[in-house]
Amino acid sequence: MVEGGMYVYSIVSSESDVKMETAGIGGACVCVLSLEDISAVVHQCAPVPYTTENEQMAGEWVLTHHKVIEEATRRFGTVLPMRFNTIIKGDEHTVRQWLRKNYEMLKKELEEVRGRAEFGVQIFCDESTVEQRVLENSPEISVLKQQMEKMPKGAGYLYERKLSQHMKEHVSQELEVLSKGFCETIGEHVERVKVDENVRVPDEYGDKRLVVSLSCLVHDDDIGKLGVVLDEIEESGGVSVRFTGPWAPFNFVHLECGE
Amino acid sequence: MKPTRDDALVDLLDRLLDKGALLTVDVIISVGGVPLIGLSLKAALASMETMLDYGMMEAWDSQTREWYSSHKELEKDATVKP
Repeated sequence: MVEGGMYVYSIVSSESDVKMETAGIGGACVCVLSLEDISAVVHQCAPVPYTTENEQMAGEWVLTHHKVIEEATRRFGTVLPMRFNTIIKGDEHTVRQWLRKNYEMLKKELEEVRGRAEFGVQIFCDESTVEQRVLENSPEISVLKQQMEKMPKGAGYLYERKLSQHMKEHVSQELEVLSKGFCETIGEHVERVKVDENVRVPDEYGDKRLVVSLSCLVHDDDIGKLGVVLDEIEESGGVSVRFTGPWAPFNFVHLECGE
Repeated sequence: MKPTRDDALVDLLDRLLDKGALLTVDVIISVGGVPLIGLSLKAALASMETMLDYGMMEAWDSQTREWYSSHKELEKDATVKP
C-alpha cells in the first residue's frame, strides 16, 4: 500500500469526529479527528508538499488554509493554527497516535489560548518628527549645526556630512527608546506580547518609519481596553497606530511534539 | 480604536507562511515555507488586486467580520456542546 499524507490545519478542542462544511485546499474534504477532547483538523493528501508556480493557485491555497482555520475557530473556539503546508506522513491512525503522544502538551496550549485571540499592533512615525525631537534633546547636534553655519562653504560640507551621520545615529537611538516604551505600555494591557521581526507593511505606510511591530495575545474581554491604550498612544502625538486582527494565535503556539 | 482586518492581507500572509505551529516530529514531511509558494505569494502582494478580482478576499473579509462579531457567543456554544 502506498503511504499517504494528512494535511493539518489546526488543533482544536472537540470531542467528536465531524466533517467540516468548508472545503479544504484543492476542494479536499476536511474532517476533524478526535482523541478524547482534542482534535486535529485535517484532510487526506499525497505525502508531498503543495507547490505551484501559479500565483493565483498559491494564493487560493493559502487563503483556503486560513478559511479552514477560521471555520474551526467559529465552531470550536480558539485553535492552535498550523503553518501553511504542514503535512504528516501517514493516515488517520497516525494522526490520532500523534495526538495521543502529545495530548498533555496540546491540551495545555489549547487552554492557554482559550478565549483569546492574536492582534497586531504597528506603530509608525514621521522621520521628521523624530528628527525634531533629536534636535530638541541633543545639544551635541545643535552645537554642530551652529558651528556649521559659521563655516566657509567647503568645510561646511564636511560638517554637514558629520551632522547627518550623527542625526542618523540619534534617530535610531530615539526610535529604540520609543519602541521600548510602547512595548512596555502595551505589554501591561495584554497577556503576552512579541516583537515581530522582518515585518512587511502596507504601501500606504511606506513613507513612515516603523517604530515597532508587535503581536499580542489578548483576552476577549481586554480588546476594548487595548483599543483605548492605543488611542492614547496615538493622541500623545507624532505616531500613527495600526491595529489588526483578530487572528488565530499564530505567534503564540510553541508545539514541540514527539513522533 | 478598534482592530481591523481591512487591508491586512500582508499581516495575514506573514502569519500563515512564516508563523503558526511548526512540528518537530519525524512524521512531518513538509513544514510550511515551501520557498516556491512563499516567493510567488510575496510577489503577488505587489498586485493585491489580483486576489480581489479572484473573489477570495471578499469572501474572506465578510466571513471574518461575522466571526469577530459573534466570536464570544460561539466560543461559549462550543464549550457547552463541543
